Amino acid sequence: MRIGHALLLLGPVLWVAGANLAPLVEMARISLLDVYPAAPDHVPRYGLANYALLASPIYRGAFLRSLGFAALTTLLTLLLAYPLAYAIAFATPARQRLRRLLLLIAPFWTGEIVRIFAIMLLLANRGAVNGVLRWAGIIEDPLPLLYNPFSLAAGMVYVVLLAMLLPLYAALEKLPRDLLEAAAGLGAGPWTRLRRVTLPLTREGIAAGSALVFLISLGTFAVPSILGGADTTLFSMTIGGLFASSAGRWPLGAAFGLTLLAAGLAIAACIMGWVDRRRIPTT
Amino acid sequence: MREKTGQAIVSRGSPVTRRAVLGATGVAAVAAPWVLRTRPAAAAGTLNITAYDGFIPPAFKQQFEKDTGIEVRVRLASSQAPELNLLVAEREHPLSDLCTVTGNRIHQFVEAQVIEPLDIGRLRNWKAINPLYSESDWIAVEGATMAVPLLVGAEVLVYNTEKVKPAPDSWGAMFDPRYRGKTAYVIEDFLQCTMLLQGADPTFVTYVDKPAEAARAVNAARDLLIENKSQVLKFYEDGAVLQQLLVGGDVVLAQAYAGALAKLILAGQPLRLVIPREGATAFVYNFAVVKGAANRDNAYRFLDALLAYPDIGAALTRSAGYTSTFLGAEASLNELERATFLLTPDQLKRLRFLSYKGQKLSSDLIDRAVAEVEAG
Amino acid sequence: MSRHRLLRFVYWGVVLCLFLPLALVALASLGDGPVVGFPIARPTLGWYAIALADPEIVRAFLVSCAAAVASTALALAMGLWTSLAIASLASPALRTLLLCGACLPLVTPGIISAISLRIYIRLLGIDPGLGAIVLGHAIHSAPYVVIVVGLRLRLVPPHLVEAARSLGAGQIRAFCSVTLPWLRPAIGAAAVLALLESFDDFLRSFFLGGYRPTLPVLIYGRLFSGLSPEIGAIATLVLALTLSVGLSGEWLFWRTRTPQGS
Repeated sequence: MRIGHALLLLGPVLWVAGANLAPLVEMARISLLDVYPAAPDHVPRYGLANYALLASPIYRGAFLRSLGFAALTTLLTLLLAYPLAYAIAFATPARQRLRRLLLLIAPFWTGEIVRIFAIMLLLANRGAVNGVLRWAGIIEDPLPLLYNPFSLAAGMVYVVLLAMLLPLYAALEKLPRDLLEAAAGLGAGPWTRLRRVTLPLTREGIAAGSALVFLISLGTFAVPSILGGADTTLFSMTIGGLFASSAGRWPLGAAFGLTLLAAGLAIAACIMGWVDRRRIPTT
Repeated sequence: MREKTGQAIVSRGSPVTRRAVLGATGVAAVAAPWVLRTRPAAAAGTLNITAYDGFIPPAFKQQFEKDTGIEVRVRLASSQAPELNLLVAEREHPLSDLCTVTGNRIHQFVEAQVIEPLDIGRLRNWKAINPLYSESDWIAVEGATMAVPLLVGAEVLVYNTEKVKPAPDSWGAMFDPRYRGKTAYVIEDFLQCTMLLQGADPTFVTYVDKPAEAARAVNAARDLLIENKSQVLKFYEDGAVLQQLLVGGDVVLAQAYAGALAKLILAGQPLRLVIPREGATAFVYNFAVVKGAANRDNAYRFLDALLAYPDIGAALTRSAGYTSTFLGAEASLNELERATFLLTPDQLKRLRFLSYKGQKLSSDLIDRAVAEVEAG
Repeated sequence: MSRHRLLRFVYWGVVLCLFLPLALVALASLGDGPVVGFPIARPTLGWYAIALADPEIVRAFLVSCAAAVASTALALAMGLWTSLAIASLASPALRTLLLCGACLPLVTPGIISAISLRIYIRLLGIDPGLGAIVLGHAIHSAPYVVIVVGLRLRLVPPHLVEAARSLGAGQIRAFCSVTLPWLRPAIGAAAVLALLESFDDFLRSFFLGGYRPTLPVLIYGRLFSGLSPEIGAIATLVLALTLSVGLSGEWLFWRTRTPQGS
């Protein structure tokens, strides 16, 4: 048995060490340098100066904004995806469920970039929404729907919806129906059933979806870069900019990236730990 | 007690678990591509190029492949940043032989040691290029030319002719309160345009020994931008985004690269380009030889053939959308193309070409200023 | 039931919102100008012809598909293995440690992950190309599996497994007949997420790829010249293909089921 257990652990440990950790070692080394890539005659100096720069007002704002924005996106996506998953799991005949899922999944195959530009076509001053509203006479001047926090949030939810929906659906689908029937039999109304039975039992789906969406939103680059405005600079864009701007700024980008990584990991651990702590006894 | 659901240990003749099948599939799937391995970069008769879309006219590429039997493989990049990062990441074992380098970023490529000086002696048709470009020092490091200049890009003011009246002719129009919230720019580039507006030198060549003066100039531009941040709807980076900004009607006035707009104008959009009276920055688009290129000989054959191809200037202009650096290229373009793509001699006079010399100083200052404008 | 009607309304409302922007893209792909935009003077199907006839696009699509399938298989295998390993550990501290290690790629910003992988594969002696892309995508997708499957694994009803064991099933039989079916929806969900992540991925594919790009890398490269209706045509074609493959697969699935099956 011990050998079996050891074998069970061997693969993942090797994978984690060799595929997840090892590539980051070089990045961590770069984050401690002063300049990279450097001219051959440059003498490298190691230090934590890059990490200290996070405290400076230029970068601090973007970092905090990213955390807040990721949290907001997670909440919005959860609020939208839960009723959606519930609708497919409970308000749909069994034969139709797969089809309805497929309909939701299909749009995601067209690719993130195309879908982002699609949102521009929808929300621009001369886009579909404004076009229809003006044609119907509801408004005179176009509404500024794009390149602001609204379009950013809408775009993000549009892009990450599936990552929340699928874990939620997986959890809801296997919910024991007899529990709900028993609760109804005991006199619990629909909202009580939701609150006391369904939500707690789908805890792991909520946690999985929230963790995924939070982490994806934290690291996302394309949506804020294209759909954001002048005040919505997110930390991932700052990091990207450091890798883009000029030779020699990789260390700062690496340091910021690893910081973002640590923040994300901490929050993900919290979300997953929340499920672990309060286990619901299953009969 | 935690259920040991995971211990799938072999006890008796166990059925093949689904997990094992998945695992085997995964391994096989990963191994398969190595069985059909991609050709190593240094196979004779290959040339690898990392280029922008449209920089190699398809007709020329076909001709070259037919004449020489060399297979030309192209990897597309759409901006200098990812391209540079890629070249740096593969620095010790480069996967390409030629790459697109822009004159405003050449300093980064040289510092990162990813390109090597040109051996002009190997290019018999070097003279096809207008000496204004080929003999300039914009892309020269200590006298050695680093790349072959092919196209000229200028940063221009673009405006919607229906919404912006009268026609603007100064960078100051971007600060006009009438267009508040309806402008867009690339921070890095617009800092330099603002420097022009304020009478400073955006090429930094005159500040090479006066870093304090350079810092003052950059800070003055930065402060003006932060003060007028409400003018801007969006900071953009890609030409495709600017196109949608203009076509979607959200922006009526912007700083842009000429090339991205040429197609819009040809399609009949109500847009016009202006080189303001204070001038505009410009730079050349080039092909450089990657340091440590595996197929250097093929690279030079390619460049040489490119320079000798009939009407290459016009072909490049048509496929990339910019003015070319070749002598006599205008002759092969028709009226409409000339009006859309070419810079008039009058406009050329107002251009200030960005050069390697000033970039070491400007890089740091501009980067910092960009971060401050973004945050401010 | 009005509650159910409300829920169905929500569902179809969301489907509409998901498809509406793409309908606009499909509409825009009929444009006659070089750049996507409205109004369209003379609708044309020309861009579809160009897209379908372009060997680069077809090849890139196939490369994307191959990478997606292969990397998802690898990610499912490693992710499931890791989830089981995490579940088998007794100490919560060790579990958290392995979980964090397994989720590292998910928390790493894309550009950092892409560049460090590029440097890393050279250390391993792997050439950039499809193999490297599959590895890179699998590394990125495995955490999805670990999270989605792992959380579901915790709630395997222990009494069911015990019952199976007490009836004489070995560890593996118990695993196959109780645990795996229990995990099936989670594995399915994770597989879909992994497939999409891989198909969609740009950064890793750009840095780890060679001269046979995936579809997003090709599209991004062409964006330099602007967003042409051709790109809209490609997207619409992919959408049509996905819908038809998905729906016909679903129809076949139900055809082969017994009438009582559910």
